[in-house]
Amino acid sequence: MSLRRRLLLYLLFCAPLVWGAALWVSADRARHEVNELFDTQIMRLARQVQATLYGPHASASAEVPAASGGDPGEADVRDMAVAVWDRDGNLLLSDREGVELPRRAEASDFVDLVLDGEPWRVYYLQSQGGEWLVAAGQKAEERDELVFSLTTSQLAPWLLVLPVLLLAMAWAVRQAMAPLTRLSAELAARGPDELQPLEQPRAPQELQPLLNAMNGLFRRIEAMLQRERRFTADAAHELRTPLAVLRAQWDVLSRAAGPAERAQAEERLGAGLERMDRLVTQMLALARLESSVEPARREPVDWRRVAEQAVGDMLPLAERRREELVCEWPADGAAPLPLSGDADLLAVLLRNLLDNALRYGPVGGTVRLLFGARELRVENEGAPLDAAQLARLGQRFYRPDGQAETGSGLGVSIVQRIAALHGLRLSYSLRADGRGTAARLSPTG
Amino acid sequence: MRLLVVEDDSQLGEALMLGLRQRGHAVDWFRDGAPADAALGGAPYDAMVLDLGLPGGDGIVWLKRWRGKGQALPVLILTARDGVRQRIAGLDAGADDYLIKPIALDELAARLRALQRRASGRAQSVWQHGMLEYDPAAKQVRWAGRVVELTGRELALLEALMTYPQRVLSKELLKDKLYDWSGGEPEGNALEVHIHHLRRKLAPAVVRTVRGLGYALGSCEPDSRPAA
Repeated sequence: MSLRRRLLLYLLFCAPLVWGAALWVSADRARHEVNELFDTQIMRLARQVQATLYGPHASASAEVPAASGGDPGEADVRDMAVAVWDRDGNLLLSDREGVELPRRAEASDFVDLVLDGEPWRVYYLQSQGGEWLVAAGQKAEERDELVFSLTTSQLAPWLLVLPVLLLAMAWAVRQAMAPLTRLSAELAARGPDELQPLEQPRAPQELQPLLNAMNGLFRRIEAMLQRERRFTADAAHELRTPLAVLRAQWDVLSRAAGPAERAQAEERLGAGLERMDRLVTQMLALARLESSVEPARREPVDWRRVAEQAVGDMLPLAERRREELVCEWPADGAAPLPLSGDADLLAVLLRNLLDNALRYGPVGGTVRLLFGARELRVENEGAPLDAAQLARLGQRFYRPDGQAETGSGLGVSIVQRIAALHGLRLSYSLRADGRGTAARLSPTG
Repeated sequence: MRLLVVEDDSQLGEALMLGLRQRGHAVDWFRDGAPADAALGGAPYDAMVLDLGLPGGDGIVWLKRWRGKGQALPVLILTARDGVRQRIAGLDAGADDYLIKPIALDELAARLRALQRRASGRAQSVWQHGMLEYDPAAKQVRWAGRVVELTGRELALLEALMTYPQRVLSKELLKDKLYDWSGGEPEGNALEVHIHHLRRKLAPAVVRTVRGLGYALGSCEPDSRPAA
């Protein structure tokens, strides 16, 4: 349900309720006033009758003449009744309606009666000596009429202005909702890449948190898009050279003259394909990693199996470069770097670390994979990297100048990403003895 | 043509060198600007293929430096930088052409031929000198309309002579045009052997010997070939 409809419904429901309550209160007040007024009149009438009785001793069974003839105005005389009884209960005096009033010797106050099926209110007054009993009464209907007409006269203008009020309410709700409408119109009109912050200086206070949250979201999406765009641009750029290599190598192969030249050209093309394969694999791995927030699995990591897998994958490269691969475990038999995570991802991480260490270490050197209780290190005997190189390490596609080995420039980015997913931090430093570079993984906390 | 390739990527540099050699060019390949700079003074190159992202300084910087020193060698930039602004910067730095990786080697060779053609002031793609016609793209030579089969070195020699039809070319220059630095020094009389073959296959007068100086393109008129 729309907010506007909801607001209107609440108003439509609540307003009559409030009106009803107000009406009831005012009717109640009116009844109270009317009762007070009429009761006073009846009481005064009874007292006047009694007062006159003390004067000239009225004759028995006299009947007060009905005010007949003449214009009665709006008076309704028959709604009133008066009767007087003597000590013995003989009706001394009454008007036409008063005949019907019952004598109640013991009564001396207001009594609500039903005469001829109609409710009456009667006031009984005993004379001091008990000689007379005066009763003055009035039909209750009279009072009801008055209360009713008083109340309806109040209600009528309310009902008349109700449509106006409804219109005013609708207009007010619409006005109050205008910032929301503007906001949704602006959002609806936006293209998928229009992520500039929403600017609504006149937006009401209640909207500000929403606007702030949305602007924050826009900023995050924009940053993500920029990362993606940069990655795509970088990837396109980085794919050009290996592609150029493949085309040129293929061209050379297709023009090769003899079997020996042909075999050589095939070997080169093979190397070019391998390079492309590696680059694309790394790119896809990184792209997948970038989009994930959590490792797919979280299980206690068996580092021995992970290390076996990664080292096994790196053996051919180590062999080619005649480098030694050594794995060392904590001396005291402590559990190496306890961690729960995705063993496959961690194998990719180790493979990339070892790959870098092997490629950029000297031919014939040694690469060490060292496990500690709180860290994991990969060390080679390569020339230490300078500060500028260290700072750029981990930038996508960055490769220090003058590399004889081909590489994608993505390995460190991949390692950093996997490390971050597992709450680890990657840092590079000079090896402890200063004769090589060490990559160190340790918990962030 | 004798070509200079400056490309830091080992696989690409090697493939470019091999592919251009297969097309009959003498190619020297360097992985950085400094050795290329040294080589420029050491051999009569006809054109250069220049990569931009070089380890020891950007290719653009090298190119500007060379142009500043009056180096007029046609330069073709071959790079992965594909932005319009980068292309403009490359051409404004003095490049004669700007190619974006990846390219077909055939196209690269064709563009190098075009650069050479422009540098030598020719408009026609088929070079003509009297009865002699040379089509560098097809590597084809005709004498009086008849196709003559020449080897790669003979073609390169003829191309060098035809590039400067009015000039006497020293033996050293001709050797430099024919041989890059990959195969060591050519044998002492190799050049003379090729010239001998050219004269035999085309006409004795096609290469004129200028004693003490070198060789020049000779007369290629109908009467210069004795009636067989």
